[in-house]
Amino acid sequence: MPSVQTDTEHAVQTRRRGLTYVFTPKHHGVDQNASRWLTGLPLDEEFAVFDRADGILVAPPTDNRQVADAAGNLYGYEVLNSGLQHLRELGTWHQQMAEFPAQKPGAVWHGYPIWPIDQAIALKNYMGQKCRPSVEVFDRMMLLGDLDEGQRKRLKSGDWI
Amino acid sequence: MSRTRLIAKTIDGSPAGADITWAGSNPFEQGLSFGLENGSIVFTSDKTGLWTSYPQMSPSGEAINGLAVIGTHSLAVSTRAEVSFIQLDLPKDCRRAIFRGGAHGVIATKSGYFVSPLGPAGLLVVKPTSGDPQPMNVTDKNEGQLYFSRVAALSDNKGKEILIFANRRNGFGTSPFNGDEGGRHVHTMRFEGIDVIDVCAVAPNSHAAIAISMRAEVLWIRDASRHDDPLAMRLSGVDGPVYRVLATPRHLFVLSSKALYVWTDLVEHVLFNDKAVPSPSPLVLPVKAVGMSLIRDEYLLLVMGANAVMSLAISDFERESAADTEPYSFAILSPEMSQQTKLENLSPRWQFSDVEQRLMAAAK
Repeated sequence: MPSVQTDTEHAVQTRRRGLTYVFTPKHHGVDQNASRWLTGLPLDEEFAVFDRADGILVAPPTDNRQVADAAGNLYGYEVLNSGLQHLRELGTWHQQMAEFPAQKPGAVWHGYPIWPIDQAIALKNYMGQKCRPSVEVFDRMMLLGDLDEGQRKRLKSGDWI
Repeated sequence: MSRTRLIAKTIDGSPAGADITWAGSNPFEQGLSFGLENGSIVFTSDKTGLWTSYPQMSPSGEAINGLAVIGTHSLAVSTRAEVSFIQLDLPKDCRRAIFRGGAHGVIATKSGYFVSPLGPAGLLVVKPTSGDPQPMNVTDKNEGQLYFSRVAALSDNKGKEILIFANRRNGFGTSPFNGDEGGRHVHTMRFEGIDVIDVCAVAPNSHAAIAISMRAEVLWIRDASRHDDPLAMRLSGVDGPVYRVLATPRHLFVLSSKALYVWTDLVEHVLFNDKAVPSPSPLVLPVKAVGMSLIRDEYLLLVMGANAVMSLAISDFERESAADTEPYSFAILSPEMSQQTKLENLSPRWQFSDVEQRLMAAAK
C-alpha cells in the first residue's frame, strides 16, 4: 500500500529559498520500478532531507550549505552521529542519498532516493537520465565536513558508507 | 616484527596522478594492477619495474571499482556508471563493448564468464568472445526481489561452479552456475536483522565460502552447493561498519572503516579442521582503508582513504601470532582493539527463500 496516494504538498517551505516540496505517489510505493523512499521514513523527515539539500544559512559568518550539481539538482542526506552507518538509509534499496531535480522558479520540487550506482539501463523508466550523483557532489559533501576522504572515495566507487 | 617489515610496501600516489580506488594483482604477469578515480588502470611489472597506464578504461571517467581477466585477451573493468569489456585480440576500433549500467564490481569464473553484481538490477553475465557484438545477459525483472552487492565464484575439483552473493537484508544467496543459460535459481539464507554486504571464497577447488554483515556477523558456509545452515558468529567489538571480508584456507581478514582485523588459523579451524588452534584474539591494525585484495594468498593490499596502497605480508601476521613471539612487538598493532574484540557463537533462526530469475539480453 503506497504511503502517499496523491501528490501532496508539504505545508512548510525550505528555510533558505522558500522552496515548496511535494510528496509523490510514484516514489512512495505506487511504481515498484521507481526509486522509493523507505516506508519507515516520516514525511517530515523526508522534507528535512530536502531542506538540508537546499542549504541552511548559518550566520555569522554566512555559510550556504547547499549541496547541488552544476545543473542545479539538489542532493540530500542525513549524517548519523551515532550507530553503524555514516549516512542514514533513505531508500528501499539501501540508497543513502536523495536527488531533487532542478525546477523552474516557482515550481514545486520533488525527490527520490538515488542509487550509488547507475541503474538507468536496468530501470527502463530512467533511460537517458544520469541516475547517479556527480563526483562534484561528493567533493562538496567533503568540503562541508560531512565526509572524510575515504568515505568520499567509497561513494565515488559506488559503495555505501 | 618491525613496523617496516609489516608494511612491506606503501605506494603513495599513482603514476597517473589520480587517486587509487581499486588494487589487485596484475593478471598478465607478476605485478600489481590499480584502478584510478579518473577511470584509468595501471599495471606494474615486477620483472621490469615499469608502470603501464591505460587511460579512459571507463568511458565516463568514473572511479574503477573492479577488474577481472579471462585468459590473455579478455578484460572487464567496472565502475558505478558502466562495465567495459575489452577484447585485446580485436582491432582497436571494435575491441570494447560497454554495458551502460553501474556495478559494484566484476569477477571472472573458472569457466570463462564475467559476472557483475548490479545492485537492485541483479546480475550481468558475459561470456567474452572475439565476435562483435559482445553478447551480454542481465537479470530480467529483478526489481523488488534481491539486491546484489557482491558476488564470488566457487569451483570444486570437478569443475562444478557455484555463485555466492551478498544480498544485503536477504542475507546471502547461492546459485549453481552453468553459464548464460536462460535463468538461475537463487537460494537465500538470512536471519532477522542481518545485512550481508560481502562474500568471499576460501580455497581453490572448494565450495566453502564466508559471508559477512555490516555488523560483523560472519556466516561460515562449508559447502555452498548444499543448503545446510551455516555456522554463525559475531565478531563482537569490531569498530565501525564492515567494508570487506577475505580469507585464505587458514586466515580470516575483516576490514572495517576503522581497522583491519586478522584472525590467524580461524578459517582452518572452523571450515576444514576442528583441531587447528586459532588465535583467540585478532591482530588489529588501525587503518583507514576503503578496500582490500588478496594477492596469491601471500599479501593483502589495502586501498587507503588517502591516495595510497598498503601491502601487508600474510607471513608477518602468522609470525606475529605465533606463540613464541613477543606479542605486539611493533607499534602499529592495537592491543586495546584486539582485547575489545571477541568471537561469539550465534544460534539464529534461519529463514530461507528460493527465487527464480530469468536472464535477458542486455541493451548496449
